[in-house]
Amino acid sequence: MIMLKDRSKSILEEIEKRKVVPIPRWHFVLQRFGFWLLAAISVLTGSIAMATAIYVFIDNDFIEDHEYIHLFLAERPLIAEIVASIPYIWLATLALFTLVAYFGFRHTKTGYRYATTKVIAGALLASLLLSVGLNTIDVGKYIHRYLIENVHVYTKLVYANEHRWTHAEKGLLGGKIIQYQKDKNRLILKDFNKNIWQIDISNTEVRPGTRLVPGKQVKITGVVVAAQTFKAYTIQGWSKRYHRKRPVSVSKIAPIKAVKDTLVP
Amino acid sequence: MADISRHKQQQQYTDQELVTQTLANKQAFAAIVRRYEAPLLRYITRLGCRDTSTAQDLLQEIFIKTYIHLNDYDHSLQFSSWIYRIAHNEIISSFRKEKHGPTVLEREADFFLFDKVVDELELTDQEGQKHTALEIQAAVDRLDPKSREIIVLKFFEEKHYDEISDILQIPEGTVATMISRAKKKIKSYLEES
Repeated sequence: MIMLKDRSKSILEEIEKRKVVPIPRWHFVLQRFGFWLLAAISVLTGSIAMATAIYVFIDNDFIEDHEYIHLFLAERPLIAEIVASIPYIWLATLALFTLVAYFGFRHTKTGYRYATTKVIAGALLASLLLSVGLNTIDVGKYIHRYLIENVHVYTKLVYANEHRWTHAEKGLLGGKIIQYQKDKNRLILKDFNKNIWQIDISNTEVRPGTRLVPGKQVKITGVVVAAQTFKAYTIQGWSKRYHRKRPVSVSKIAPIKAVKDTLVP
Repeated sequence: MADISRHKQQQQYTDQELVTQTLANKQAFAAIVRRYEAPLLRYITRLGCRDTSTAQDLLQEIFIKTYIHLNDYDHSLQFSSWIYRIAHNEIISSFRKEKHGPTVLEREADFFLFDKVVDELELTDQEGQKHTALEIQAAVDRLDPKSREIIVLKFFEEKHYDEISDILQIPEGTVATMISRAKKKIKSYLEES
């Protein structure tokens, strides 16, 4: 049995000897604020990741545009297409920041009182709700586009719709309009690999709501007729809401059946 | 005489009041030390530190850490939970540094508490006979540190679930689960023996 003695005196002497003083309150307030901030920033970052993941997945043509689905499915079944299209990198980012949010929340004053599953589910739900809000202002789209256009390694990390439309040899070409030469019925287009194409739109169905103006992203079906020259059969904007807009210009319409025959032998 | 009268006066203050007083005048910390030195020393021992000088060094470090972190004390918590949390962290950290786990519980001092464990966990053998304190002690000694810790807090320190939750910084649901698991382990050890 350990013998007890009044050690209050010796403790006070030791405190005196070590010259220790209570850490100021602001230090702890700042520390707690730091953990709350970490949790909040992580949820926000997670929601951005979620917003981008939702955009990348929804943007896939097998969801957004059923018209061309047969062209893609000619290569592999729908389930394989869906599995390949899941934006794993964004989901992994969401998972990582959800864990960081959990860590931050767990270190707040009473964060430990909540079950891990509840905190993680709460962080995920908050990220999901925020991501829906963020996607109403197209945050996911802008982030994805910026990365596709500027970060080379990103294109290897996601199998996005842009990849499907980077197959001119199969009749699928997508990219940004650089110039519209109305008098020559020609578009100058930069594809997602930064190649410049001349697009002949003299006999092309321009889908309703498609704006042929520089800077706009478009999807074109057609055929390669010469080096870096593409004859377009159909052209449509990348925007998900193209069907809500008025048609800008409709030239001669080529039946989509003919496109199919050309593209899928 | 003045000292004795001051001590008696300090005994009437709540923990929260003593914390406030200490922040204004560190001499008031002596009252906190006097109030908690015995329970904390018992806790250190029950968690498995049986070397007297190590236990006393640990106790000193716990009080100094408590003093340094006084401004971090949240008055919505029980002060005892908060100081036990500091003690728990300090003891675990000491075990890690020393690279040894807890040794046996001190049966002589806690004999009646082993009986309490038997009653509360309804530990009876196949014939319905209660297990002896000695058997319980052997089973508790075999527990892993986390299970042992929770049993010590629940049955030896007589803490409630919410207090254990605040001390170990885990949800109350996890406390209940851990107690239930520890109980199962104790039962299986008793059956083995």
